[in-house]
Amino acid sequence: MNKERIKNLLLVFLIAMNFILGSRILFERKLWPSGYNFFSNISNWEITSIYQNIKSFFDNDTIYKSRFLSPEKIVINTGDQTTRLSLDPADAEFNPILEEAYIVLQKALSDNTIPTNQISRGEFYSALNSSSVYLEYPAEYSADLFARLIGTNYEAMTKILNTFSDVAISYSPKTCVYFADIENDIFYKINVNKSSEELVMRLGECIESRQGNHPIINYSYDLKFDQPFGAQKTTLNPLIQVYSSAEEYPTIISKNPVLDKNILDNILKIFEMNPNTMSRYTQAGGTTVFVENNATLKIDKNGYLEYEKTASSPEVLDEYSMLTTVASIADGVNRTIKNENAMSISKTYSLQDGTIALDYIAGGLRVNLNSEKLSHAVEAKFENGQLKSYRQLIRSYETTANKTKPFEFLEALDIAISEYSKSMNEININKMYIGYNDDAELGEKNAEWIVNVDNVIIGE
Amino acid sequence: MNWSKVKSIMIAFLILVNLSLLSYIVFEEISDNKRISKMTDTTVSLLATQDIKVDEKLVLDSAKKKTANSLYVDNVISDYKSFSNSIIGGEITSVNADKYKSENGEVTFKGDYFSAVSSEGNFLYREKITKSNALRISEKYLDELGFDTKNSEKNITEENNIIKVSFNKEIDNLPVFKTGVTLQMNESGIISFYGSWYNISEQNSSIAELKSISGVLVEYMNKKSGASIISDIRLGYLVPEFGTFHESVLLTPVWKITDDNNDTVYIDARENN
Repeated sequence: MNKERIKNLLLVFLIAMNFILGSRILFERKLWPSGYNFFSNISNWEITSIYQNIKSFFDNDTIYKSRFLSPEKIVINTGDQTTRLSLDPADAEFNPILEEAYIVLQKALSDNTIPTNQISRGEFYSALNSSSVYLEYPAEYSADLFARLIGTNYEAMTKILNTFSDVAISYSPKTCVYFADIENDIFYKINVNKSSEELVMRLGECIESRQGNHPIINYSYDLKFDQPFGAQKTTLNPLIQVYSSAEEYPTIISKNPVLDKNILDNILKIFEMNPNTMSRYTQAGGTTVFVENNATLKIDKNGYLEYEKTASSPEVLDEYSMLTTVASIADGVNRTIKNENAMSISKTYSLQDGTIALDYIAGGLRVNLNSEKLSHAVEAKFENGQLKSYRQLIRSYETTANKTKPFEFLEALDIAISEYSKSMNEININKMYIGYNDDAELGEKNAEWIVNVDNVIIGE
Repeated sequence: MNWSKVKSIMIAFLILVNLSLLSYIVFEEISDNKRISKMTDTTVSLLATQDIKVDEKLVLDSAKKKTANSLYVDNVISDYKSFSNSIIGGEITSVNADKYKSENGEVTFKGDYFSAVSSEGNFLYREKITKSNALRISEKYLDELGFDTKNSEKNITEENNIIKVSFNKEIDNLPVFKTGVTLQMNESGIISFYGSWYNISEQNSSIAELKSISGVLVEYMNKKSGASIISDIRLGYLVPEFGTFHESVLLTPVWKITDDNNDTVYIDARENN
């Protein structure tokens, strides 16, 4: 073997050894002293924190994503029921009108010198029968919570008004804001000093563009449906809208998103569980269970997620923080599974049951969940100001090109009365609206009338 | 260009570089060993302040382990009824949610644990069995039932004409604590069969960095009260939540620390991130 060949072989050997020893140092020994991590230090650089601040600014539409300050319906009153309009979140005009309405609400609720006057039911109805906009909320808010969500601190209102779910803004001749607690017969009015030109403009544009292309809308108090009628002594909530004809709504498909390992790990992080230090196993039936010292998370194949926390933390949340916590978790889960459906609040916190509930919105309408385990898409329970459990049925809903027309209002009312009268002597309908009924089975759902009855009186 | 000269220079350079790298590695190894030894002394002294004694050699041996796999395993039991059918056969009836029987025997379950017993005169598996063929027959029987016993510690004993063959599950040469099966047989066949077993799943495994043994022993010290002598420290795996049924489970490394009273404490071996 000649000298050059030996040199070549030696060179190859030394180069290979160089790589082997270098790799060993790089991956096993690390080139930095123990405790120093180049990659984690990048996150502490100032430029990185600037980037994160910018990113979180654009991500910080959590509140609107969960729509827990959004009404489920806006009714534009014109003084004439033939031109009265109803908008849901799927309508293009809904958000622009809502934004202007909130500006008016903020003006009304930010000045503690403006007096709040208690008014009669009749005066509230008069407002709805004149030029005004009615915001129908899916849940009752405490005055304190509503003010904080709006971003104000209106002490005067929080001292006098307990809860409400109906708000109206009249804009002619003057701008006034009305809050209604229908059940307890309490109504308040706030005169806003400034005009609401932008709101009036938006409303005008909407009315003009939809001329003649909509059913006639009456409130049930207009038709005396809020007084007992029929053999079954049925009453409707006075603010339920009665439509002269039915409209078409898209069919939706409910899907159970695939939860692969990456998605599950990201969901764990939402609940501040460390995927690297917990136990995980699969139960019979395919439910995946994650166990940490102070919390358990279960997700089954049907998309049912259940989080339970056993340990307490020193932080005690107020009503507002409880709501933002639940919304933040729900947003996180929906973002992780890339679900575009927004959620709406269905129940705010009350001391009686300590539960906050959210439901999905699909095609602008509420998805009314009616499953064995949950009656709302999200149910979160709090005890002593701390989150104890969070349950969610993970779903995504897509609208299809198919449309169906539900029963007309009066026909639907007849059907509901005849069903309930089998078990009730008196029927008090507190909500009746178009939505989607979901029994947690996957597949197509058509828009239907959803009727909520206040109380149950067993028939003889 | 004189390539021969260039090669010579490169060879000399590479020799220098490799020697430097090698020296660095050797130096780090020596430093590591010194550090581990010092840490061991400190740990042993700290435990002694709480009346806990441990052999330094045990700690030193344990300190050498830096990583272990976390991996998924599947329970051999997919559902109680079909598992019972595969062992005892015949007309299976359910006594309750955790017990099934047939004319050939009965199977009782608690979580992942099962216990199968043959009826009088019947055998779970009939073949002429001696101590010399007991292991082969047991492996064959378990293989037919879907148990992967390739990597397991095996043990055979005989007493009062009953041969016992035990299989203790191992993964990557580490024991899976509280997991194993035992078959009891006589010369006519297998009389009873009990335990729990998992096969390695197709799901991905990952490498877990391990906590330092000092940290583990400090955790042990905080959990233990009273004087004791640590007789064994062993790295292995443990299925969480004993008594609960697991269709599949992520096995993560744990340290099993046993004292002279045979009390055992299991501590999660993974580094917290």
